[in-house]
Amino acid sequence: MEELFDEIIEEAKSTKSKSKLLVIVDADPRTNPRAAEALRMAGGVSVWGQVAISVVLRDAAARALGAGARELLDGKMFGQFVPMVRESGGQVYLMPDAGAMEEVDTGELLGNVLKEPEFATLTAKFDYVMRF
Amino acid sequence: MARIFHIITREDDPLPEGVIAAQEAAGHETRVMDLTEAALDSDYSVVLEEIFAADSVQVW
Repeated sequence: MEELFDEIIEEAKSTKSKSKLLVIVDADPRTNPRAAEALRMAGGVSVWGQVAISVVLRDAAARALGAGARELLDGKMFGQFVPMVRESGGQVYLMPDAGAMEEVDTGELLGNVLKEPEFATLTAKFDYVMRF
Repeated sequence: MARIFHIITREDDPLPEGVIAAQEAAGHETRVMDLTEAALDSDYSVVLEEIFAADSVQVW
């Protein structure tokens, strides 16, 4: 059974024209569990391999990549599912507000920060956009 | 240029407004459906038609 599952996953990953989904998260992870749920969904579907998923963490949601992320609501999920998105080939972009900017790891800010005009351009490149 | 269908689900939300304006300025064709103004007995078949006609479906 496990071999069959692995076979299905590998076959799905080899599909050339995957639909592209952009998941935008702007729920505040300090007060709203939707942020962690969105990343759980993105990570889980990424591993499936049928859909190419990238994520934008806007405003307070960027705290999911901060030093105190584990202390947020369902915070353990951030460390678990963000790497799954990346390992599946997806990007995790950041658009932190001033408060989140102080929390986010500086390494995460390098090359991953989007500005508003870039964000609008990015959204037009995806087949689907979902916001949480 | 892409045909982009936007589905609005929150009232007075500035985020999609800015994105839609930028996409239109870039030459994309946008269609917007504000579900916050839809009545309970609305005909949702037009939503399906727009979804299937669009290159990109964006839910806000």
